[in-house]
Amino acid sequence: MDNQIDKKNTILISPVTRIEGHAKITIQLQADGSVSDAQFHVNEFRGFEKFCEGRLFTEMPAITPRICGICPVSHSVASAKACEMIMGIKPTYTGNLLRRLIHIGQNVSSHALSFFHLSSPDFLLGWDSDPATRNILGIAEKFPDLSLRGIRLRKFGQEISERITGKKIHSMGILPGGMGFPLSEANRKALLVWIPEAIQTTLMGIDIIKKYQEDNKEMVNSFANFPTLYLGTVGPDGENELYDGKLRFIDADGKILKDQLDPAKYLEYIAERSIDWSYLKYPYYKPYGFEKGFYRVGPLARLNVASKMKTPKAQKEFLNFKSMTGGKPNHGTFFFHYTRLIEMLSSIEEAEQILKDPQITSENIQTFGKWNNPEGIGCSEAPRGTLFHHYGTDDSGKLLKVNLLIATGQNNPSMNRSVLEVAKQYVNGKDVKEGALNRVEAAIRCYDPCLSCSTHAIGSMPITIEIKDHQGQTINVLERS
Amino acid sequence: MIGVVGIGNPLRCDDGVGPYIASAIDDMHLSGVEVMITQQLHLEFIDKFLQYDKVVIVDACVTGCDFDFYPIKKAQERRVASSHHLDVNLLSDLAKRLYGKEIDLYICSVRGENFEIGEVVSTKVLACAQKAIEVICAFLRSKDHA
Repeated sequence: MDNQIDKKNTILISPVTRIEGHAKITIQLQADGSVSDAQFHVNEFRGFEKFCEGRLFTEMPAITPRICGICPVSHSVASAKACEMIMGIKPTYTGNLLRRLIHIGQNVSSHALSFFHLSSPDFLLGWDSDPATRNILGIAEKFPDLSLRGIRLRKFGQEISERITGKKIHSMGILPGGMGFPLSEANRKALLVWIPEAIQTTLMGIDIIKKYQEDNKEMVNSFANFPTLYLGTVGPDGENELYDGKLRFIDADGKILKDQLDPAKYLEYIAERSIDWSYLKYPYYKPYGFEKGFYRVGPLARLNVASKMKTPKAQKEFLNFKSMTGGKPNHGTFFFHYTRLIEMLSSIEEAEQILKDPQITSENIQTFGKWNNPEGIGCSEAPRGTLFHHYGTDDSGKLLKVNLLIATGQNNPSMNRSVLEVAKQYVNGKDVKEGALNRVEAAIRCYDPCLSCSTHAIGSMPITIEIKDHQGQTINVLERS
Repeated sequence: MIGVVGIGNPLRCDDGVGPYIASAIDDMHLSGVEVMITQQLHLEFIDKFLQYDKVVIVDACVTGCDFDFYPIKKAQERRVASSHHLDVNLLSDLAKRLYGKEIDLYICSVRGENFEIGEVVSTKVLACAQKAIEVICAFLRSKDHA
């Protein structure tokens, strides 16, 4: 990392490492050097929605996975569901099972990368360790077995997609009405072989994070810990449900505000407001208004809103997670990591159940239909949170309007608050230690944001951290290369 | 066996030049050549790449010369990793550290002009792509790899 101080005494950190997109963090100091404010800016413009206008709605499940190479399945699933609403059809039982399975694969793959390779360097190598080795290479050097296991876990997730569709990413098999490819018996068996290892690796990750949480209670519990509302999808009994749930909002005390909401009604409860310093909008829970209505999505939110998990091993960890706050919502941003791992465990257990369903190899994988309604809304839980696709069409099926409400956008207000909380705790004055700035970055990494979904990005993730004095003059700038 | 890997997003204009070149090479059905197209590099590709004698990664770049072809040993040291991006140098390093093996990597880069959302590769970039295809094919057909 280059630590540069220019004539205006500006601190700039660029890029914030191990997340994606193009963004900048500004930390504003008071006269005494303490932090008064912090903002997480996203500087790139979002244009995908406009690009889709004029296309046939049926093209969307194949186009939208191109938004992101990490969560293409969530986009494809949400898109297929929106198309199904337009067509007035439902997928077949097996089509749904296959989509659910491929969705699990993506979740495992994404969560594995986030924990084992991007976040674990902070826990295992130390927040203040040499930034040159506090990364994926450092983990590979000191914990090669863990690193390899993390890679294999990702491979398992990707292989689900590959064995169903023949492609590791940008699966083209998800279609309105179901799937384009069945799962062969040979591929079903091959995927089942992975399950024990995948569970074991995830449990290793859970042991690591629990030990870290136990050994660093004060830091973990105080790390960007602030109350918010939460949104996630749940099944009929309030169980954690990533593929096909209904919306549940809870408040900061855990009171259910809205439950079993049809995702198609999302606009009745979610509004967005533009802000002048970021291209990401600020979504909020409409009934509470802009000031009080910001909510979080993603693994922490999903486990905060859920009443239970669907599978036994994950349920055991879920109970442990809930017990930490006496059953109340856990507001600690650091707990994104633990909840991510619990979700991954649940996903793997669910994958085993699906692969043992006799119908999974049926070839009855798709229903068919045509344009019937001008509007369609689809929803799925992407690894980073609740995702909505909303299409308006003319009577020939051409898209007139596209709205994509993505997880990172919904977490934007909370990412800002997290940066502020952590900066207040660890930054004081312009001469900031690298380890302190790493913690500021880590607050963002907890959310594992995908700024290429919410805006766009080319290649790596440049973020600048800029520190301004009480008169608004930039006094320090740090950049990474 | 030589792997040719086209990297990029065809919905981001010139970012699609990697897949464009890889597709063109795939259409030639060259013996001993396997083509793969992906939007981005992933860690689990290491396994696959280690199975090849050589790997040619074809990607758009944002700086540097219009077209370049070089072994990874001469590449600049950049080790960026994020959820959505894995630097090729890092991939190479990880292969050495985790598997104790080297991937014989080559980079073919074509400098893009426009990375906005769209499906059209710029005319100038397409011209460079043709040159890239010729150079890669010459490399694949060279005696060293027969």
